[in-house]
Amino acid sequence: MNTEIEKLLNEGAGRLLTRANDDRSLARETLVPRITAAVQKYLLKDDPATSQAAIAKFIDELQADDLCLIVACERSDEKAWSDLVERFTATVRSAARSASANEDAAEDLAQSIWAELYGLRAREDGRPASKLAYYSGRGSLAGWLRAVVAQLAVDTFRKQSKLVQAEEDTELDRLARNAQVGEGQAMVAGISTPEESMSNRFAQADLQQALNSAVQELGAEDRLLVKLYYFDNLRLREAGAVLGVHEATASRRLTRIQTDLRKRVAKFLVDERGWTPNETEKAFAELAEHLDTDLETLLAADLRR
Amino acid sequence: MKQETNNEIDLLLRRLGRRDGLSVPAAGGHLDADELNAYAENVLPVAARARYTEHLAECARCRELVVQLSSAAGVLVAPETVKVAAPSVLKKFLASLFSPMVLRYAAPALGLIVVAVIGLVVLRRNNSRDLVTQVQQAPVSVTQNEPTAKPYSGEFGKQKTEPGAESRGKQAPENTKSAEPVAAPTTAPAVTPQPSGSPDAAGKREQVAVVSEPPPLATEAPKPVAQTEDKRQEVVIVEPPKGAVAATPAVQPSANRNFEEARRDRQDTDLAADRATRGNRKAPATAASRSAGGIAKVGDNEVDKLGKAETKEKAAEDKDAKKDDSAETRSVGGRRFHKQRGIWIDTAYESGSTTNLTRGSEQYRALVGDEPTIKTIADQLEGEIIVVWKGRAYRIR
Repeated sequence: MNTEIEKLLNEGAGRLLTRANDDRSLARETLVPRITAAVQKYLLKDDPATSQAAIAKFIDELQADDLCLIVACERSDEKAWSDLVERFTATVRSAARSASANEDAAEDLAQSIWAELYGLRAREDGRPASKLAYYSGRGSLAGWLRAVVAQLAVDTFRKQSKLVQAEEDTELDRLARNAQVGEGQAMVAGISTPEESMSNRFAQADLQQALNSAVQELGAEDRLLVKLYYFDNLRLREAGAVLGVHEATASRRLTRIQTDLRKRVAKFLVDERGWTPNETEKAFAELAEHLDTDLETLLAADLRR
Repeated sequence: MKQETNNEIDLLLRRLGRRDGLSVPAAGGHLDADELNAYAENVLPVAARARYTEHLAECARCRELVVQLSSAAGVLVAPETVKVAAPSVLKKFLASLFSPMVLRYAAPALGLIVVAVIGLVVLRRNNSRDLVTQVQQAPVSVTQNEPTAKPYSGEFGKQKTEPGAESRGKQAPENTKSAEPVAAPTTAPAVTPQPSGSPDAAGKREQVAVVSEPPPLATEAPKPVAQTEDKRQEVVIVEPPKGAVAATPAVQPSANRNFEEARRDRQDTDLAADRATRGNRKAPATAASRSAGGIAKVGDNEVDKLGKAETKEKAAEDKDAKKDDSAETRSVGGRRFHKQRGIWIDTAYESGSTTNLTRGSEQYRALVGDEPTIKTIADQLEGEIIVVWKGRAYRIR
């Protein structure tokens, strides 16, 4: 890192301390390594030639008070720890409750979080291996704590479920495969002969592969939207919130993606699988018929309820 | 068709999602808590965000965490709005004017005000209609003077040659009092016999209106004539001189004169004006009054001439008014008043009911608002006044 950037980081640390309502008596030098790590991670990694103005702006957007609090906690400032616990106990408990099945599990999780933060485990150099070292100050401290809780909950859950599900996996995979075959068979209506059935299954496989390929070709944001909406079953509002766009924008974007995918699938089938345009249209028409059947079934199920 | 296309893809994607056919293990490990939080709070630099988006599109675990954090953080994204230029001050004013709150309260209030204004206008119109009716009644009384007026027009030729006409006019001022009883019978029947709405009467009314210009000439004419002219003066206030010219066609049939007669009348008017110029006012006044019907056809030049004559006549009238002062008789606003027991009484007034008004009262203000001449009279004559105006007698205290 050249001296200019070092100077910039030093000045930025000074400004950050000035901005903080409570600088916890921290020296500028104690903040510089933290700020440097954040700049490296979020700016210089993607663009080593990031302008000085962009770096200065990035530093000035850091959460000054939260970062000072965490750095002070790292330096074993009792007052800072007391403040951290007092201010964020409710946040941690709330996050733990929403990530746990019951109150006891939530309490255990919350306690684990505080232990992780305090760094009961020791690093190689003998200092506590606290998770506090990973807070950059870019997002809010409350959000970061929620993320830590969620990560820990997921890891804990996966560890537990691995033990329970190990024996069931084979059976579940078999059921899933059967279900896929069943869906593939039901997807194309009017199957009469074994030849037709075989032909339709190949067509279905081609269509599926074309779609996979088309989705992979989408841009990262579009692909993420497709995953959030179709794979994670989020509502458009929720998917939009993740992407940082409004629900209406997400809806428009999804419509565009569908049209785009339609074109890509047709192109794949013609170019890669040698389908004629007529065959492509026919496959989509059969899908549309199947869609009607699906809707009728769905409506009938609703009425029965 | 397009929607159907989208539905097909939608269906395919849902099936794909159920099978999770695109699960690709994320390369390079998962995002840490700081990255997840920064992504969920949408505070990452663009390049870093794109890098993490790429990861999230493939990593279900991180995606799940980001979704949790987004909903926990309550990230609200404002809808994308098209920036519209700020509305002008006028638009803002109009918008505030027609805002629901204003419309809720101001519209009914405005409606009430409009109704009140309309009511007021209607009332005032009714009042003015009454006045017009009074004005219309007044000419009718003049019409009733036809026996008096017609002999003038009919005997015009005779009078023209009659030397006694002038001398009779000269005697008029001295006989002001004695003229009153004469005037009484002429005006008294005016109210009853002829309906004011008859076409004949209307024609004559207009005829009188046309002649309204020269009345000042007749100020010193014998009482019957003066009485007629008083009525004409009233009409002058209501109808402008131009209307006189416009009324010409109506005059022609009622007067039943031919063009030759009209020409003679015009000559006669000129003669009257000449006489007035010479200071011999009484005879021209008579002549002018005699030419009542014919003058309606007189053009603007004649009107001008008459105007000049009128001016001169007014000057003479002022002189007479000075003389009358000494005899407790005054002429104000074209009306003559004499003082009796401390009350200025209009010479046109006969015994009868009066409308009593007090100066400064609401009624008085309303009356003088409509008839400013009455105010002039009331201002110039102190004390109690009885003035006859448009057929009604007002007692002003």
